[in-house]
Amino acid sequence: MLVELIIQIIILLMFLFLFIDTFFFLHVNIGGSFGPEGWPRIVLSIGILLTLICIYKIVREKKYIAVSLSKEKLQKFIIAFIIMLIYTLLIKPFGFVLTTPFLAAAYMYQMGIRKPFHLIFSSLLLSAVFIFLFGRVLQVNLPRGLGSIRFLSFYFY
Amino acid sequence: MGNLIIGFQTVFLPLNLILVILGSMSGIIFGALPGISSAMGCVLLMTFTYKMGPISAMLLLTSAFCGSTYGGSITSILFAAPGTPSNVMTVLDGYPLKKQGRGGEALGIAITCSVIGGLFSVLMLFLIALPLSKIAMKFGPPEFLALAILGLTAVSSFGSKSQLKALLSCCIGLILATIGADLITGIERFTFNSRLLINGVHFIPVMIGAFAVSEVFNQISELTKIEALEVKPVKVKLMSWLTFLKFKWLILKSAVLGVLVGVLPGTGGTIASIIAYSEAVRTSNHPERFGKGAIEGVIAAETANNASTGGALVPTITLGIPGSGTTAVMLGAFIVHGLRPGPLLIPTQPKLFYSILVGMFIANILLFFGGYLGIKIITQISNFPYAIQGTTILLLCVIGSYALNNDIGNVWVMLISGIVGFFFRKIEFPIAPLILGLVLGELAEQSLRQSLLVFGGKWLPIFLRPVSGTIFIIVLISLVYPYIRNYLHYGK
Repeated sequence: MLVELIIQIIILLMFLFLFIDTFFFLHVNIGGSFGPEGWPRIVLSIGILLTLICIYKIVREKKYIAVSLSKEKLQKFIIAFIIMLIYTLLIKPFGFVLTTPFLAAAYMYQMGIRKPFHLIFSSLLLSAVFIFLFGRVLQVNLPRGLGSIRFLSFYFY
Repeated sequence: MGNLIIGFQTVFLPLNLILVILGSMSGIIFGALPGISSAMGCVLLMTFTYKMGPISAMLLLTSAFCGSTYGGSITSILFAAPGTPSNVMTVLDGYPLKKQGRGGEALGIAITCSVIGGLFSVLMLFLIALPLSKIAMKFGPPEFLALAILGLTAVSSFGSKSQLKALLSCCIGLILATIGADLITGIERFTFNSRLLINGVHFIPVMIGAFAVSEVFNQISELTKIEALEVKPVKVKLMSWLTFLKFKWLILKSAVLGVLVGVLPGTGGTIASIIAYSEAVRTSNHPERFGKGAIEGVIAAETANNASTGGALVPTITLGIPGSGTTAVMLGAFIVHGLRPGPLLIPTQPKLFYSILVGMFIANILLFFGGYLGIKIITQISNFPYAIQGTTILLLCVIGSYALNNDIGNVWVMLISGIVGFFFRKIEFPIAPLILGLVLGELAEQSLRQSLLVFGGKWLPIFLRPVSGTIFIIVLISLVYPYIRNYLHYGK
């Protein structure tokens, strides 16, 4: 109950905040139609109403989803999120080539691969396959990094 | 006829033919793997299409769409684990058949009926799409507003457990669609002076995050991996002529139902297979056999869910209104490749449309062969540890988001959407309506504002036009339908 209630309250607060923000839009009068604030206000009003009904159902009618989110599960999710967060922060300065094997190794370790050889081999192989397939064959732009790392990336793709 | 020949010529170019084969095969694999839905499979495949031309890209994705609908039946029959929601009904009789030692027969029936259903849907797409787009060319902003609202409300009413949550999810998508510069006035909305938000939130990273990243996070947190499947040789036995003739009317009825249900926004393969299965039970002389290994159950479910694929593409291509998560991804793919689905798509891009038709036709034929191969590949891939599968999916997600326009901002959007999607899954908050809201938001807003401009700020004429009025009545019915259904079923 608590998880669902917290999420609904966050949604409600977000809707209310955005609704108030619409009053700070520059107003432009265009013929018979409404300005840029009109549509968001309609949607947000409906959203606020629906969220209030949802909260009412949770609190008064006890209609909610029994969320199976134990401390251990939440911990695993947070670690997974932090790995991706660090990767997203580092990928721009360090590029795809240098960061991806670490991302792959981190997730594989978290998902149960423990033997060092398997971990290193699998993460390097997977990264190499992606760099070759997307960087070389499909010519997709991958992050190159900054400075000398950028220069280095041209050897790979 | 000339366009159809051009379609065949285009699809039979070596590269395009390879893409159809690859799309079909990867669709079968994505569809078969529990945890990878049809929409998620198409999102992941989209990463490969950025440097392709629009025709090649759409051939790959539509073939994957066809393949994924069939693929789910393999694991449904062999392991009672439906790969996609549209194969849920196949489990009911497919798995009991396998337990009776008739797994090969059930797989053969699934392949044959999937091919028949798929081919029928391509035929219907061919017959319906062109006339519908001609009619839709006469539509004005009020009609498009009504269609967009229908698309949003129908998916909430028919495709979700909780209509309230689905509508709320829609609202979130609609609000996300308003972020950035307003298209009519150019005024910034909800950008909070951030340079990253001026161009708005692109729906592709949101789709990737909400469908794929959230699923991997979910698998990681649940500590489960796709269990190693017990690989036992199963000899596939195609449906015999005798069986085909015996159940020809059931196949035809299920195919027609599949197409009709597929055309309706918000329904898709799952509802199609449920309705066809129910109809098969209702009209059977031996309804007691269903659920215990009746081949009619597999026939009805597999014909209908594959027949819905072509049906689902009808509103997506001709009106620009997707009715499900997968068709929303398809719409996204069109837009990424510089095309705008709607009434003008077929007249202006006949080569593309007929290539898609021919591509889907070939992809469905390929299911006959891919079905055999798919069963072998799937049992092997399922033995891969989830650590490899999950990491591969995450890397595809990162590339898919970044390569859209070489922007790290999209990777951030993907990550945030992944977190939101993770928690939404936990509280059974449907994700597809959010995506539809994001995709259809711009169309709905522009249509409403244009309608108000045309009618001098008056709302009533929008609802009084024959087509838009009728659609709004359907919207109203679809909104109250779940309550009527609950009242009739449970008396409350």
